[in-house]
Amino acid sequence: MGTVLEVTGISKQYRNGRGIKDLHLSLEQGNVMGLIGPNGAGKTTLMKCITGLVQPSGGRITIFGKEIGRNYKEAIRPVGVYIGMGKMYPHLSPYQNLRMALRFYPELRDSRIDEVLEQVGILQFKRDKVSSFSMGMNQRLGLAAALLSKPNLVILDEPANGLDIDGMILFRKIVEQLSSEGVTFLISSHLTGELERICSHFSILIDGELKFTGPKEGIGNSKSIEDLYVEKLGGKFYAPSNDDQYNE
Amino acid sequence: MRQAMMINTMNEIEKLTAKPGVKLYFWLAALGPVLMVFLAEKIQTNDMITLPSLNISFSILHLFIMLVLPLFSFMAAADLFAGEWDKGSLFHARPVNRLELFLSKNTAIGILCFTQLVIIWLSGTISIAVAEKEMIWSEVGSTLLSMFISIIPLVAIICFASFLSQCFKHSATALSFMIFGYVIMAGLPFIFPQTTNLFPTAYLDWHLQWHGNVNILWISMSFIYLFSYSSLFFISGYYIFKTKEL
Repeated sequence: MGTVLEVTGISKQYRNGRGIKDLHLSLEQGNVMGLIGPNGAGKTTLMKCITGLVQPSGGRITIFGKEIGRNYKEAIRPVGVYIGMGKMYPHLSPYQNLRMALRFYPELRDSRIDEVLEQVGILQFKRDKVSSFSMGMNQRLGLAAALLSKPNLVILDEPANGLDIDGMILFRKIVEQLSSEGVTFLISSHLTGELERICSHFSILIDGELKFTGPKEGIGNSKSIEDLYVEKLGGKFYAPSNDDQYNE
Repeated sequence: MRQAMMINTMNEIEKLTAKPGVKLYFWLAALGPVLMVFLAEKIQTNDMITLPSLNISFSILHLFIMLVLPLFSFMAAADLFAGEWDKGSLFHARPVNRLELFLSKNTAIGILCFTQLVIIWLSGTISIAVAEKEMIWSEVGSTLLSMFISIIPLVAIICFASFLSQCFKHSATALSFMIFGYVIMAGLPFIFPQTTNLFPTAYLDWHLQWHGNVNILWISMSFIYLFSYSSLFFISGYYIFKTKEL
């Protein structure tokens, strides 16, 4: 199994002093990494750094051996990303939104759009305006967009938020099926129970620092990921501040 | 680079043309000249005034170049930059770099402006031909040349719009400031005549210089001015765009 993602000494400091500090992370092919941490810990910042949406202050990120800062287009090509809501154009339909993304992958045909929409269960709404979608439907569309290019690495930021039970089951099945085919996942979520069911690896990010990273087995048989998370917090429960919107 | 730029230009055009506001501009481009020719005809019939048809076609083109197309550029730039930044959809993790993204957004606005110019020209020419019951080919040629040339000063306006829209996070604010900036640039020469040639707005009627006694020196100087304005606004706009983070 080869290394898919290598994050070496990544830092990103915001003006308010928060951010991520000297992070090291590595993902092997087929890993499903669950990234957990309190609000404002830097999970989304890390994901944005990995996908080049944010410029890190220092460090190096390579995806399949290609450095994101130097060879962005080549490095990002095998990556499927869904970070946060609102990335879709609300005045367009899911079909139009996905067709715009698909154009960057000329090897894929238009039928791929129907495939992914069916996979996430919203094919019947493909001509509706995205503005009419509920939060759960938006999440499904985001997942469809991330899977559209048949990526080898999928990065999802809180993909299960707002999903109904059907959506949760579907999401779990998609991750399980694709990871068995060798696709690597990096998923951030607050739903530790859900992550525990699908993830093979975990990372705990607190105050911009990685407090734990390793395989599920490394947590210990008697502990859940939630127990480990509480332990790493040191019993201090985190109170988010107004600045969190810039950091997460 | 060319392929990613072409793809993204297509995407930007698709995004823009799906907006009702943009469709309205296209309808205006198609029907505005018809209405203006009809009104001009009415004036001529009622008051026994004879307006040369060439003046009507230039007036149509002039009105759109001075007013409608700059407004369209402002709206499109505010939507594609400030509006998307506000909604968090300005950048996607796709195989396209920032320069290509910035270039393609500007190109898309330019293409839509040029398409409107073609529609205005076609609509105006056909309306005049119908009203006059004849086609004056020399006039058609003159307005066609004007139409092609007019895109050059409009490029400077597009670059100005895309630069200014980098400074705002809401499309409405960006649009207001662009209109304000445009009014200042267009109006200041009336108060301070020495500033006449300082702003790109002074060159929007550039196409008029290409008819009659053509002054090559003045045309060359104007072109250099317009090129400088475009480069300045484009580079400054790109610099801000490149450093943006979601």
